[in-house]
Amino acid sequence: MFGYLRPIKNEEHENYLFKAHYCSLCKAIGKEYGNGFRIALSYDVAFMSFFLSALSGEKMETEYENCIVHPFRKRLVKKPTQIEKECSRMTAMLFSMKISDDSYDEKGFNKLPVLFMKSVFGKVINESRRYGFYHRINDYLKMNSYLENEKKCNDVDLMSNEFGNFLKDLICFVSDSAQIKLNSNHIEFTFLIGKWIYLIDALDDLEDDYKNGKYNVLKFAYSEYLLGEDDFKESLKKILDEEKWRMSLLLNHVQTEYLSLRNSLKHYSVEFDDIIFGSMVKITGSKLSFQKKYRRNVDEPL
Amino acid sequence: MNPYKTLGIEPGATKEEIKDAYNKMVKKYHPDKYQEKHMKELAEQKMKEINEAYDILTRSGGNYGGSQKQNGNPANDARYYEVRNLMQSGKYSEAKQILEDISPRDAQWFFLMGLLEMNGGNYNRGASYLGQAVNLDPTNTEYRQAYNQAMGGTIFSRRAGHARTRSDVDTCCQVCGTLWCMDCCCEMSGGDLITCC
Repeated sequence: MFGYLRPIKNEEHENYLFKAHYCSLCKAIGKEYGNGFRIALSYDVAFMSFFLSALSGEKMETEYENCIVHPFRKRLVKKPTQIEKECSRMTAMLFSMKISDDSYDEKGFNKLPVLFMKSVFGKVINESRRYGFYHRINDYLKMNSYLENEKKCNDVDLMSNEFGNFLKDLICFVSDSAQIKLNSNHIEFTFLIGKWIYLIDALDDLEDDYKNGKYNVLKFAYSEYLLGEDDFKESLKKILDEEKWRMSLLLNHVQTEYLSLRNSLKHYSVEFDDIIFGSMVKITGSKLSFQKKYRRNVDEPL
Repeated sequence: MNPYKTLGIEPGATKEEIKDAYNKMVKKYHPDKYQEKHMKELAEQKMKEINEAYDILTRSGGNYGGSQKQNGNPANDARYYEVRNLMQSGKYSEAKQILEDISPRDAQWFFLMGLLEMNGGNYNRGASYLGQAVNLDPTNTEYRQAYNQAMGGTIFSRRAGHARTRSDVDTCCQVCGTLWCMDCCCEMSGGDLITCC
């Protein structure tokens, strides 16, 4: 399980609605594309599916079902609707196209497993060409590759906004297919969520990317610290200190936008409050204060 | 990119100061100093930025940003008013379009553009514009307050405060209107909901 946007286990109430959505989406992916694809599911896509379900105003129907990952206890699962179907398609496409795209970057023996996976996912990629968001995913991957590999972009806002816009467009595609009307506040909110996911990922991967010589926008934005005389830990601390400003602004921005749309989430709003005002703040704080293994120390898997 | 920040000098630095800072930076970040491939790559990128910043400052004759320090044109006031109205109703891209056509760029221009950039998620650029607005008109409390809020990470709460006040007023009007209608209906059918009117 990967992704960042999820409820953190809370003593006051169980986030059973989010869990039921996550399981429903996982099962929908397994049913549509085979169980192998279930590893592609992330908390971030589950959050988006949860958000769209809340906006659709549908009455949630649940039932207890068996699960391969949790064989001893039945899990509460939401009955899948068009939203889960569309989100599972999006997950499978994103995963397949990313793998296919990565095959161009790998060289030598590293290319073999990627090429093998590419042949497995070829069917999904071919199928995805029929959908509007195939082109959007393709455009994003190309633009991202240009900004990362050729331009070595050092503009943190530009890179995170690119991903925010990408996520916003995907959500618009999914909502159109599922016939859910989004207003400008909803669209702006998804853009900000995308920006947050990108930045948290960049903060999380900074150490590994530095050591492995991979692209990370923060490396180029704060190259003066990394090229200076301080050791890496000291430079990392300085970078995280600088990024506190952007992250606190972004949290303020997300919370403001959230408050303007909170009423449209109806009875789901309590769980969203928990994620926006609780989890997001805690996860951001942990990434900015060196607690790389936050998930294992504080949180428990869903 | 702020060329002064890249070279680590204050705005208004002389030609000699710019040259000195440039030479110091080149010595410090020269790619040949680094052995590892990924550090070399970082240093090359840093050198690109330093050269770009030096180019901008030498081409402008050390007067980068200075031409913007001019008084506003009173004829632009109506357009600024329109921009503020558009921003209040959430039409940010239209507001930005109007703003981009306005010249000369005075303190109010930088203030409004700063807010728009902030709203679009360009926090660095937004903060830099708000800072420029404060520099051009240091006595204006609106600009200073927005700049302080941006640097403190709370600028968006201000907008939420405005939005809530507006919706509270709307709700109040709706309640009063409903009560008045109900009172009229009651009186027409012989009763009275609000006895004092």
